[in-house]
Amino acid sequence: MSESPLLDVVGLTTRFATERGEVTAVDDVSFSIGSGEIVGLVGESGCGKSVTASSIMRLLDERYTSYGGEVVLGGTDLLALPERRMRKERGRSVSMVFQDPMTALNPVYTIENQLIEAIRAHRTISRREASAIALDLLEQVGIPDARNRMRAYPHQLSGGMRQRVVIAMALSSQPRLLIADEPTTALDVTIQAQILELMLALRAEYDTGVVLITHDLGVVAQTCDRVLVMYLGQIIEDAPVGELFRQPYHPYTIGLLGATPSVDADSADELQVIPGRVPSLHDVPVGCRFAARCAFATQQCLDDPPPLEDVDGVHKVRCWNYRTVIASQEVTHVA
Amino acid sequence: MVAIDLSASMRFERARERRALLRKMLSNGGLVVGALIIFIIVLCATVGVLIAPDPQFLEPAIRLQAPSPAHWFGTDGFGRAVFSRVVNGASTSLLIGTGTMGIAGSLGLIIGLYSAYYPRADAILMRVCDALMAFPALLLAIAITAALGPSTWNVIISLSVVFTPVVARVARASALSIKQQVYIDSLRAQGARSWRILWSNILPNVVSPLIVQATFIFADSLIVEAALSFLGAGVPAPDPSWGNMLLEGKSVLFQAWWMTVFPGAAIMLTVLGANLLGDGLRDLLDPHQRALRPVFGFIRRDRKDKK
Amino acid sequence: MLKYILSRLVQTIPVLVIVALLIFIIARLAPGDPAAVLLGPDATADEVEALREQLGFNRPIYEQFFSWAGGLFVGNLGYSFFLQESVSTAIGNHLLPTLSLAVLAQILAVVVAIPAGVAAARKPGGVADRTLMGASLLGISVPSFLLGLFLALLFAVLLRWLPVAGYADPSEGLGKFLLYLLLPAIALAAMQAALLARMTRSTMMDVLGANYVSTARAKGLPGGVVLYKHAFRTAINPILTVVGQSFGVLITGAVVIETVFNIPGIGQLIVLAIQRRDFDLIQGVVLVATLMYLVLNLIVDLLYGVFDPRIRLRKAG
Repeated sequence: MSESPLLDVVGLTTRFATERGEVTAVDDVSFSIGSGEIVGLVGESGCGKSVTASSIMRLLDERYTSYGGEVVLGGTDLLALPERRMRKERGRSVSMVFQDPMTALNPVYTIENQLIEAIRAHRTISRREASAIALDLLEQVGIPDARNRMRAYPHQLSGGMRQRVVIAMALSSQPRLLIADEPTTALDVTIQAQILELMLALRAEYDTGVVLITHDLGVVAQTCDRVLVMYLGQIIEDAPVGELFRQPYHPYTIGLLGATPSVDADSADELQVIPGRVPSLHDVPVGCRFAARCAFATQQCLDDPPPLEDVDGVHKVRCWNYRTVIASQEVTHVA
Repeated sequence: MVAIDLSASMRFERARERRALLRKMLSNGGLVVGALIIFIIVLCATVGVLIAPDPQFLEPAIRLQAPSPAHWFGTDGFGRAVFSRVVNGASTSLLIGTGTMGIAGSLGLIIGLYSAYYPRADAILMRVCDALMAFPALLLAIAITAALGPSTWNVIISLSVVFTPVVARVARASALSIKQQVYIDSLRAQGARSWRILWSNILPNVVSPLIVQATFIFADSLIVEAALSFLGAGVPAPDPSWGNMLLEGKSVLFQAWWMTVFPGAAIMLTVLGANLLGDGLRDLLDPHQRALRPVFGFIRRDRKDKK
Repeated sequence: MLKYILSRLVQTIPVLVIVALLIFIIARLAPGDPAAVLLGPDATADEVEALREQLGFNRPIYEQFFSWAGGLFVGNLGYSFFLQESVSTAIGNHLLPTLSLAVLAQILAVVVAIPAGVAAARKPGGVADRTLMGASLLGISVPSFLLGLFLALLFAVLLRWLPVAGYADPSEGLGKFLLYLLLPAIALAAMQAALLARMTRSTMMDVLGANYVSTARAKGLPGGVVLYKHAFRTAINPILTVVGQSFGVLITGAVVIETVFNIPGIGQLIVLAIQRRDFDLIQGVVLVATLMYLVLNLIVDLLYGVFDPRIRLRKAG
């Protein structure tokens, strides 16, 4: 799997013009994804994960947004394409599954209608042929009684079903990259598991690369091969999933993991809360953005923004003091 | 332990909030312009009335004269100065507008709050309100003033009847949404009495959309009153009202354009000012858009309101 | 769907009853003796009493109400002494001009306002948007009859392009019919268009921010398709509601504008009725207008079901 990566994001920077001035929602983000790789993108609300996703798809309103850097998919820089060309790529080489299945489908059109629309957006075929493909897709995503369900309206389906439909639509043109923005957040835990399994199966079948955006570390643990942690518009850690959970390098990641309730934790253990609040994007701190809330912060952290450092070829971290962090963790992990 | 002076910091916070509010108000262009216009109109209606010549003073010799330095707005069919009639009309319109606003506002508030809190009364009261709102406002006003006889007071009464249901609906909707919040239940669990909950908790939250609503009612009562008087069912001659001046002007439209243009412009300006003020206040006080926007008596029924 | 229709019909009935009751009460509020008013100041007490007896004013009030209400069912709205014909006949004769005016104004308003609203919503803060907000604010602030007066002054007096008063029956030719109605219809349409444009704009803006619009864009659909097939289609319902509900305004506006342009519609009828204190006529007109308004709302509610499958397919109310 060491051919050139499927997706190579280099220095992606996304700025918005707001009433209170310009805001940099995504700041110099770089990562790559290989075919068939599922990469998780985690962080708190507002850290820039959704904006990163929308930037890859260039879905943001370009009157108020400016993009910097490169987003290279299969050799082509998506950010450099004219809009008409980009539109052709959307839904075909890169697809997106949105957060809320309740509202992601248009309530006044049937499932069949919306699927056919997605299929015929990138292929010139007749409605009948498209309908057959749609039926096949619905069966693939595990919708029972697909033939009848096609003629239904979105509100007649459950949340889990709707999400499967949305996934079917996203996969209709067999994209090489799928971006899933919190695909399971609005669903029950049991349905969540089913959807994730579906995604794993589809990945195996089609070798699609997946960007899985979530704030739920449990989902990451179940599904992802690699994890990117974002904070205030920057990637602060990039590691294979096993390593991240076993040995996080960044204090923020440690905080996230500590704040997650665990089944085998002692009930007397407190849930660790990261002190302080995420600063506003209008007031980005000088130096390391996490420094004000960090137990390991030093003067250097307050003055100098740390770069994203590649520690051992697979694990990257944006922290001056990660060695100290690792050392302190080893002490507590004795048990 | 350092003792923190809470009261001082709270006072500082409040002062800061007040300054922020003031800044917000001043930055809202529409609000400022609207308020300015209304202020000017009020000035005309009060001070202007005192200094303008008698609006009833007839001088048939100079009837139907175009605007001139002697008579800024010209004279009407009876030789009366249009200028002073417009100014006096301002005070009539303002009286009717504020009267309606006050009566409809208070009555509607009481009815709305009451029906939000007592479900049995709610069913009946809201049905009556629905029925009243089913009438196109102007027609209802015509019916009532026709029955009672044309006079300024009767106009106020009939307009109040027309607009009270709107206020009631808004007050009820606001009160209901507050009532459903959990903290009210906890107050009741503590044994607070209904009317006290109503007064000190629900009322302050209802006031904001109500202020916005009152402004719109002011604007609309101006329009409806003008229409009423224009049809002959409003303020009776010879008392000047912008509406009945338009009526008189209609018959001499070709000869005396000033009899139509000046009262007409006055209506337009005042309503514009009130609308701007209402929109501005709404941006400030009612971001959830609970106030209903009646336009020429058309009250837009919120579908969600029906529940 | 049938259940929905039936339930809506049933909901309207109590409102109708109260409406009839209210009109009845309002008319009876008038001070003075209606019989005496009818006969004039020279009538003797006996004559007045005889008329009272004849017109049924001596019966107990609830009996009067029921007989009046009963009459409503068979279309008997009372009798206008001044016109010497039944109220229903009088209304029937005068309805066409008013309705034509209202319908014409509505068409004009829709044709102008909806595209304007959509254009404004596409680029918030842009030229189209700011123009719309400014123009609509003016539109809302000028009552239609006032605009009618101003337009009459401008076009008929100053420029002499259009006829200022009068009405031509459609039997005299469609062109002439429309010509006389044009100026008043424009005056009426202005406020309506302002309201509709604002409504369209805000609804479209809400819809354009919806998730399913993002999904449509993510599918790679062209902008126009996203706008019309997805955004506008879903926005139709609220817009339709406004169109329907505001028809009532058009009717009232038409009523007033008729007096400006001398159109022999309901407006003239009402003005005469007010001058002569002809209660039956006033009652009848108000009742009919309200009824039309209610029926229209009902139709709009039903159309709602046509356009929104969520309502159409709902099992229970």
